Order: sequence, then C-alpha cells, then structure tokens
Amino acid sequence: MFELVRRNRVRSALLVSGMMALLVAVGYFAQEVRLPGSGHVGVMFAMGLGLFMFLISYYWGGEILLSTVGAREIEKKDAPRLYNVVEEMVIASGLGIIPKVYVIDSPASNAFATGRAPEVSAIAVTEGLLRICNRDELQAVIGHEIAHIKNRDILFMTLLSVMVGAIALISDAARRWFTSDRQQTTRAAAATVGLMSVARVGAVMFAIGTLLILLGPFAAKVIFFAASRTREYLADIGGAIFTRNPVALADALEKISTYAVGNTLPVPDVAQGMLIVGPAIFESHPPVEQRIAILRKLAGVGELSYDRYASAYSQVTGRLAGFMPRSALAEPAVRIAGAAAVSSEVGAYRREALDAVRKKAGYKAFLCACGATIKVPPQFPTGQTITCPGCGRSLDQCILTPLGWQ
Amino acid sequence: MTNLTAILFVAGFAALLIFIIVAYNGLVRSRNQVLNGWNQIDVQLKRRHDLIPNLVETVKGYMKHEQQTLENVTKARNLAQQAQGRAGQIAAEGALGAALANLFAVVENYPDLKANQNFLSLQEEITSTESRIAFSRQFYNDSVMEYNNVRQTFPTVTVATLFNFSEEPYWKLGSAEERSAPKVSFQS
Repeated sequence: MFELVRRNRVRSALLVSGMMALLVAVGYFAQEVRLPGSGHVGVMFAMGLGLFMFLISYYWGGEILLSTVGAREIEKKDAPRLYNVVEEMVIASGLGIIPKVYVIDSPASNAFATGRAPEVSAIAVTEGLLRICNRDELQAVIGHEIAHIKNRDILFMTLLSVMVGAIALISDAARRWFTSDRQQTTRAAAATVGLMSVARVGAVMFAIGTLLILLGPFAAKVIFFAASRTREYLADIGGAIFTRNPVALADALEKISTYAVGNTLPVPDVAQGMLIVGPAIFESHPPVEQRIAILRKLAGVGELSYDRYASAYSQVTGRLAGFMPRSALAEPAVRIAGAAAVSSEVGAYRREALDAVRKKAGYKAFLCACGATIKVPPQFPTGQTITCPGCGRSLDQCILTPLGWQ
Repeated sequence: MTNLTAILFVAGFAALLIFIIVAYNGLVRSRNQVLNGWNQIDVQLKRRHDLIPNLVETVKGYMKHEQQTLENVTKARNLAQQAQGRAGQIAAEGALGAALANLFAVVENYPDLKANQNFLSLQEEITSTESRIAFSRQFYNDSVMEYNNVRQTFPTVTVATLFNFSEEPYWKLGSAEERSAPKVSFQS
C-alpha cells in the first residue's frame, strides 16, 4: 500500500523526463527550421515556457480548475453525508489529511480531485452525483479520488499536462509562422538558408524537425492520455481496497455513465484525466464498461489485491496489465466484506432486472456505433442531441436503431 | 595483504551497520503506524460513545415499548467506556455494536421516528461512526499485518529479535452478531 506511492514516483519521473525531452526537441527544431543554427534559443524558450506554465499550475492549477467549473467549498453542515464519507475514506486510506470538499452546482454527475500534495488537496463532487448515488456508491467514488491523491496522480498529471500544453503552443506557433503571408519573404530566405543547411546538417535532421513539429503535439497527447488511463485503473483498485467494496464502485460508474447523457463539465482537455468518468473513449479514461466489467469480475473472486485486479483486467481486455507496479502486485490480498462480495453473475442479473424496470418505464435503447447501448429516459426531450457516454459521439453519428430490449 | 583484510573488514562492518539502521528504522516506522492505527480506533470509539446518549434521548419519546432495548444500549455503552486493556475493549465494543444493531432493527417499526429531522441527522452520524470504526479497524489490521510480516521475515527478523519488537494483536471480530453490526444500513 505504501510502496505504491514510491514506485509511482519513479515511473512518474521517467515519463515526465520523456515528455520533457519531447518538449525540448520540439523547441529546438521549431527554432532551427525557422532560423538554422539558433536551435539552442528554441530550447531555452521551450524550457522557459514549460517552467512558467508549470509554476502557474503547480501553485494555482487546482484553484483555477475549481473556479472554472464553479465549485464552492462546503463545510460539514452543508452536506454532512459527503463530508462524512470523505473523512471515512481518509481513515481507510491512512492519508492522514482531510482534503477540502467542494460541491459543483451541476446536474452532470462527476467528481475530481486536485492538489499537488495531500496537504493542499481538494475533492469536488457535482450535485448530480450526490443526487443519484447512494451512500456506498458515493463512498466508492470518494475512495477512487482519495486513491488519486494518495498515488500523487494529480502532481504527475499536472506536470504532464503542462508539457502537453507547451508542446502544442510551440509547434502551433511554428506552423503558423510557416503558413502566414507576412513572413513570405523571410520564409523564402529561410528556405534557402534551410536548403543550404540541409546540405550541411543533412536532410535527415530537417525531416525529423518537420515531423516533430507536425506530430509532436499528437505524440504528447497520446502519451498523456495513456498515462492517464493507467492511473485510472490504479485508482479504481486502490479505492476498492479502501472500501473493500468493488461492487459499489462498479454500480457508481454504471449510474454515472447512464446519467451522463447530454451533460458534461466544462473542463479543459488536459484536465479531464482528473474526472472520475471522462467524456471520450480514446482519451483520458478507459472505456467505462471495461472498468465496470473488471470490478465486477473482481467482486466474484471474493478477494482484493492489485494482483487479482491485474488478472481480472487481462480476462476482460485480453491484454496484460503491464502498467501495474511490481511491488503492488506482491501485496497480499484482502477479503471482501460479506455483503459486498456479490459475484459478477449476480451483477449481470441485477443489470437485467434494472433494464426490465427501465423498459417498463418507457426508456428507449439505442445502439451506438462504438457498441455501447444508450438507454434514454422517456422524459428526455426529443430533438436534443445526446452524447454517447462510451465514445463521445453525438446522437446523429450513432446508428439510430432502437433495440428490441432483448 | 593485511591492509586489504582491514578494508574488507571495515566495509563489511559498515554494511552490517547500515542494514541494522535501515531495518530498525523500518520496524519503528511500521510499529508507529500500528500505534497510530490504534489511536485512530480510540478516537472513533469515543465518537461512538458520545453519540449514544443523544441517540437514546431522541428515540426515547417514540419508542415507548422498547425500554429494554434502549437500556441495553446505555448499559453496553457504559461498560465499553470503562473497559480496560485491548482485549477487554474489543469484547465490550463488540457487545455495544450488537446492542446498537438491535436498536436499529426495531427503528424500522416506527415510521414517525424515521421522519424526524433530528433523528435523521443523528442516523447519518451513527452510520458514519460505525463506518469509521470499521475503516480504522481495517487500517489497523492492515498495519499490523505489514508490521508482523516485517518482524517475522528474514533478514529483518534478526534486528526485530535483537531489539525486542513484540508481536501486535489483530482486532478480530468477536461474535457473529458483531460481524453484522458495523453495517448499519438505513437507506431507503
């Protein structure tokens, strides 16, 4: 449990240095292509920009995010249940510090944690989530967020997202310089000098430079979102170990994704990794169905550990859980408390029963192109676009064939 | 030759010393976590004891026919407060948990009570307290497991024996009633 934090630090440091190398390379070539021989200026600029952005998000990132989504800090008397649940999870995790608690007045159902260190951390939960989740499910969501805080995921994701931002800015500026009319003459001159330097430094370097500027931002995002996804799995199992109740987390995720139709939080792209359920499939979060399936499978095992989670992950996804720190895998398993150990089969029956109730209540079911089934309540206004909770497509992109509710 | 032997001897001695220091510090850190876990349970148990008079007071007016159940709760609470030693404490708290579970089982028969705002907020506090006790016990037991593992496995076992690090007891659940007690569920 305590090893994981340290292990994460090593991995984080590696990933962050990789990202930093990419930033430096993009900075170097962005300047080198424009004015050959001055690449070092680009490196300095890139580092400066990265540092500047990092300092801002290090010290104010949390507050900026919280105020962007309109979160307000609460005291115990405002939402006793939420506040109690946070304290309970602090006890279960041994975090030792109670994060600040925020509520967002939004019908969307989501939650996130911020803060570079436990001492300055905060947890924000939407009104919508408080409304739809029962106590156990709320506890599961908060457990997941506390696991993020304990694993220092927020500091790590902040670092990465800052660099993603800096890389995007620099390569964007470089591209714009290339295509703008005002620079036509300079560009022609540069092209000549560039061609001369091609002869000098070699065509390979020039090609690498152009490629980096074009693909750098994309590569940065891919790395960022891949890192974010693995953190999500680790927070799922971490939170489940705190509550000893993987079923509650699966239920919560199911509810959140069911109700997510049509409303999301106005959170910037790179901050999405902090939400409990992300908006899109190939980005910050793994497909929520997959996370639910893994958790339900885990519940069927009756024991919880990183190792059990890794094998449930392999069974569900058909891939190996290579992101699991080895020290975490060695941790002994803990037993799940009686009532929580509902097997995955029972979970499936439950879902069937819920579906039957929804069908009776006049819900319509649609199959999205990504394979997710969208269940739309009858009171949902017709004509309003629906965002698929699985892949983020809007409704008109989905194959609109009502299912027979088999 | 003698020089090399001396260097090897000193290096070996330094390595041993470093190992002892690291192992000792690890053991102390681990044991402190156990103690901290125990204190955490104590805090939550005190919270439980403090809430009970308030609960009994609120419920009394509604539950005219459950005097015995209420008395049992009060009695169990007083016994738990006076309990001495870890073993005694564990037993007394188990009994209190069972008495509370009994009380909440009969609450279901009093719809008026379930509509009382004061009772509802108390109910949330008690639910939270029971859950805090369960979680602090869970954290305590996890810490004990970690500590005992370090204490009993080679090579740290040598340092543990040398400096007399004694085994810490788990907080095991006693009776069958207690096992079901912490999960007080009031959700509709």
